[in-house]
Amino acid sequence: MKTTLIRGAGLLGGLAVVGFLVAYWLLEQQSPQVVGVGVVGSVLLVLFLWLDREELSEVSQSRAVRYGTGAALSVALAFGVTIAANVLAKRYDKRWDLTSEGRYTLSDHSVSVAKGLAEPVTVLGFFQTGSPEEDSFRDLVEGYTAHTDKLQLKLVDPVQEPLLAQEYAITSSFGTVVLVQGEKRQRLENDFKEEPFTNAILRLSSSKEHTICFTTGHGEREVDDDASAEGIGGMVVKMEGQNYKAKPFVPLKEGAVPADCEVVIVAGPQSELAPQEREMLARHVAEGRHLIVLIDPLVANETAADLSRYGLIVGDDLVLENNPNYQLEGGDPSYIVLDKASMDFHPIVNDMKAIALLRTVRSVRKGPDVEGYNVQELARTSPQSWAETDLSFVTAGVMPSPDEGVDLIGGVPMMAVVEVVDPSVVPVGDMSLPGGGLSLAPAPVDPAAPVDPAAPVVDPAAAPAEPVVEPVAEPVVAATPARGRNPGGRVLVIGDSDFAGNGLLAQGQNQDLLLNAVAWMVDEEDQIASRSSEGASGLLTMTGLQGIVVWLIAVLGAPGLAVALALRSWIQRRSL
Amino acid sequence: MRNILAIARRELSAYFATPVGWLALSAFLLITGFFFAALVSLYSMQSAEQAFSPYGAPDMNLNEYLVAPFFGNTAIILLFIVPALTMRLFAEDRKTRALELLLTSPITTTEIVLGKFVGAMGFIAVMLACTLHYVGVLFYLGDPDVGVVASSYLAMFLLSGAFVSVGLVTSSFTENQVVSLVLGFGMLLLLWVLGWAESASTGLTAEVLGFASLINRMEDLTKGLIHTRDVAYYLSFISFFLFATHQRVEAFRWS
Amino acid sequence: MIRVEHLTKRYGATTAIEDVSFEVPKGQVVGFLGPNGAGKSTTMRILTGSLGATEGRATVDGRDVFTDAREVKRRIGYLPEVPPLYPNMVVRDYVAFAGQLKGVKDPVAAAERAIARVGLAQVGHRIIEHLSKGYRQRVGLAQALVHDPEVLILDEPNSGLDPAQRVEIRDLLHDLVEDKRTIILSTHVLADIEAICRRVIIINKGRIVAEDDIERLGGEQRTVTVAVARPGDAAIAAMRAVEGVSAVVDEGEGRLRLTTDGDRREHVANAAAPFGLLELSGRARLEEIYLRLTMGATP
Ligand SMILES: Nc1ncnc2c1ncn2[C@@H]1O[C@H](COP(=O)(O)OP(=O)(O)OP(=O)(O)O)[C@@H](O)[C@H]1O
Ligand SMILES: [Mg+2]
Repeated sequence: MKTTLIRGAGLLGGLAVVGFLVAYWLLEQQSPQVVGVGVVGSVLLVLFLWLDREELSEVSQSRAVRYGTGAALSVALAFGVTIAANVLAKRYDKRWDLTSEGRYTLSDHSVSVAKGLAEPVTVLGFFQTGSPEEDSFRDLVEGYTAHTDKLQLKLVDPVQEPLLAQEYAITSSFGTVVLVQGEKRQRLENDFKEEPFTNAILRLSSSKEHTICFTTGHGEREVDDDASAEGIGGMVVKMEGQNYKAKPFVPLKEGAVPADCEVVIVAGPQSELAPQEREMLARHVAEGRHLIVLIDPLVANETAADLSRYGLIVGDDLVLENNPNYQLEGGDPSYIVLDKASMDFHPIVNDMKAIALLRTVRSVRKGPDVEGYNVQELARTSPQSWAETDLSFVTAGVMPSPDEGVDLIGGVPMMAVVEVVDPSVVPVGDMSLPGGGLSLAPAPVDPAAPVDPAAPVVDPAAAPAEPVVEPVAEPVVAATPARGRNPGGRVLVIGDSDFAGNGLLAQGQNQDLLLNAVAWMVDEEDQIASRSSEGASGLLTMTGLQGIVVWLIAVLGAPGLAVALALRSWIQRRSL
Repeated sequence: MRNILAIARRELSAYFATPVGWLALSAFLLITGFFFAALVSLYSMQSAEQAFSPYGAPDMNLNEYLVAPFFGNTAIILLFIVPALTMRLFAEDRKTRALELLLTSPITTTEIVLGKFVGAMGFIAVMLACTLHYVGVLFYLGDPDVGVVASSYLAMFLLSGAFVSVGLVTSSFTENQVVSLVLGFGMLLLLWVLGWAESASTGLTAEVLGFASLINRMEDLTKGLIHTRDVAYYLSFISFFLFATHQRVEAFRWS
Repeated sequence: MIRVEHLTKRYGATTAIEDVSFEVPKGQVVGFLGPNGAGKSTTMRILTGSLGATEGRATVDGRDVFTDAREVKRRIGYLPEVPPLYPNMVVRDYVAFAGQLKGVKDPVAAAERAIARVGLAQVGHRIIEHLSKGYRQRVGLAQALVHDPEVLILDEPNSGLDPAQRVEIRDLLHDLVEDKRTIILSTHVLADIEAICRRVIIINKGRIVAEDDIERLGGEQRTVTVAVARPGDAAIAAMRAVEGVSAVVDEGEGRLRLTTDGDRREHVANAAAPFGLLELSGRARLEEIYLRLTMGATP
């Protein structure tokens, strides 16, 4: 009776310890109750081993136990060891991504975001248990937790824990992810891939929100349009995902670039910007803020020509690509493919691993050197391309050929970046409207700066009499130079806007081009990295004959050979 | 080691000496061949559609749409074929009394068990090697990912190892090969469907079931993602069943 | 060479052997005798390491069969009741495989030697399954001999064979005896034991009931049977008068059974000659003892 009791206790203790191990490590249920079970189990087990020690040592010395009943015991023990080994293996998991494109490896961007996490983030994944979404999300988060211990994943089944689900207002049946950091929350719904998740972390932890302003009123690509091929809404969504705030504005209405606009994007104007608007932008740059101009061929030529004030020459031409390696299938020469070889060395393009695809592009090149500016061309087309200046062919529908001496031939640059080293050299002209109604407070530009005669700077003293419309209470001050960067603004001009439109945005790394540019401008260069690590597509096509051969080889060839060999061996053996 | 290899070699040649081995090989190649050809045809049709699509081919992926399903199917075929290969390992030896030769030779039980395991794995290696020409076809026609293919083969090998270790232990429990087959297959099926049971259950149960399921553990491997926990799972699984077999064979002496 | 001490083996409730002890010196050939189910095979399997004992110990060449199993197995060649054959294998490969397992340096050559030794040279290339039972038994013997062991343990090597095969196997065994190997041989065929063994161990119901040299078995008392042409009191008296004869029983039809101490056959023959000696035999003695010991029959 006593021994039965002791053995029962021993068995119970053993079970409790195993259960504890499983719950604690395997399922990571590290609650006090679980620990309690573990402690009680251990005590029982030790008690059993102590009280029953004589019996045990006697039994273990007899052959029957050593070889007979002992087998069952040792198999049970081995089972425990197996479980323990697996629990440990799960805890200290390492993984290798053997795919050639690193399909399951986080992009450098995500890794740097993970590593940069300073405050702990709890990730609540509301998924139906065992759903494929849950699986792949768990895999994804594991990629991050390999680089940081600040990220804690908690998977919740909304059916099992309705209260928690209610607290976070979970409605989606495909899952919802909520990132929690202190009081801050970020939600993800329906799309749990790497990119949105990284962006969510960024939004959560980023202390500063940069504002990107899009000019409107000149047929620019629509900020709100994320559906049609022409809109730029897709790009805007990506930017918002990167923790930028995007807003459209009408320069003429505002009278100046709003003070909170760190970057102004002119996204493919179809008509000219008014001269005053161009001056507003120049002042914006002179104040140390930034400008991105995406300008398509054939339109807004005046505006394009005006960019010469930044030391850039925007051609009135159309870049045509004759190198089949850089042409799209179908061979339309107005599509421009840029790959790593096309890119110059610059933070914006250094990390471009895949291609960028542009459509109907005009040339953008460095003009004569201007003191105070750093101008750099970012990318060139192939040597077989040229910038056709005789644009009559567009309506005529005949393919032109390069004209020596007139056209820019071979390696046409179509994007360039300007760093203003000395803001005083930025020529800023009169911003007052011809109607005379509006004028603006002058920019705090050094009045002693040399002034371009073509664009005279308004004398600050000449303006005060006029009514002032100042949207921001405080006067605009140039952003404090950070990390020893140049005090002036930065300007990026690209001779195409289609690449950023919804139609082509998904191609290659089109989206990264602008995201990188913005990051570079607002000094978040650490966020420039290959953002997408999505694999290259692998197609496989067969001719009809190849198809038949595959079937023959696979279904008749190898099995037939095996059957033949089987017969041979059978016949051989029959006579032995 | 020498003894392990001697036993393994004998087991391996025994497969080629009996119709069962050849039959299994032929059936395996026929079924995998059928799946392979069907998958390739399907994929090439989809590829052709995609190639002419104005939107390009954004999401077609040879590894995900062809390589992974092919090895997924191969795994299921192995689930059916491996028990037929392992059923005789101990059952036949016991029936013919040949086991007594092993038991009375100056070799350890571990060597016997490992020898039989390695022998069966050798045959499976031959079977898997016979599928390499499919990979050749893939490389000829398209551009599969070497890493994914390699880790898929690793998955097949580990999975087969798990199957063989279970087959070994069930084979040691009976002299009747058919009983051994039914036992082995039943046990594997049980471990296999733990993965299905996982999706039908919730919480803790689901977690444990998913963790123990043979099928779940190979999914990442066939995607080209090697987790140490998955490899450790298969290796510990194999070790456990080999140990159980060892204990079982030892018990022959103490029955 | 072989020493067995208090060996007991129980299968659950049934006791296969109980407290079996004996000893076989080096180079001796011992017959292991007992009815079906006596425990012969059990004892042999324990000695060869294919079975564990419940109690007791056994050593071969001073090495414990349980703790030093590997060394013991290296020294033993064992032919179980059912030869441990792989029916699908070619004879040559099978014997070579056995050689490999036994740790022979050159298994192929050793296999050839063993095959020649047991007279299988002509069928070395054939598949075991396709051989006759006698030949399969020889393959089993070749397997036991392949590593040239010091000790041979043969469990009914000639059971189930036709008389011609049986004689051939017996001759084979006879040759093996010449090799000065230590041999334990179990059989139901008493004639084989008498032909081959010097000593005999008789086991019954798991216990050893007799163990001695064949000559001395059953003490000094022996039985000689004579058949004479002219039986009668005179003949009986003449037999009684022979030195060492303690009792004479008339079995009728001219047969007299004499109980003697020691071998007195020559004297008996001389004494019986005048009465027309037809037959004289002491041969059935082993069988007699065997039956007596195993069935409780009295002489
Ligand atoms: N595996 C087993 N399980 C249970 N009992 C067994 C087993 N093997 C043998 N026995 C029993 O042990 C006893 C001795 O058997 P053993 O085979 O040693 O006899 P034997 O002398 O060799 O007989 P035979 O002349 O028939 O070969 C028998 O009563 C038998 O029934
Ligand atoms: Mg027997």
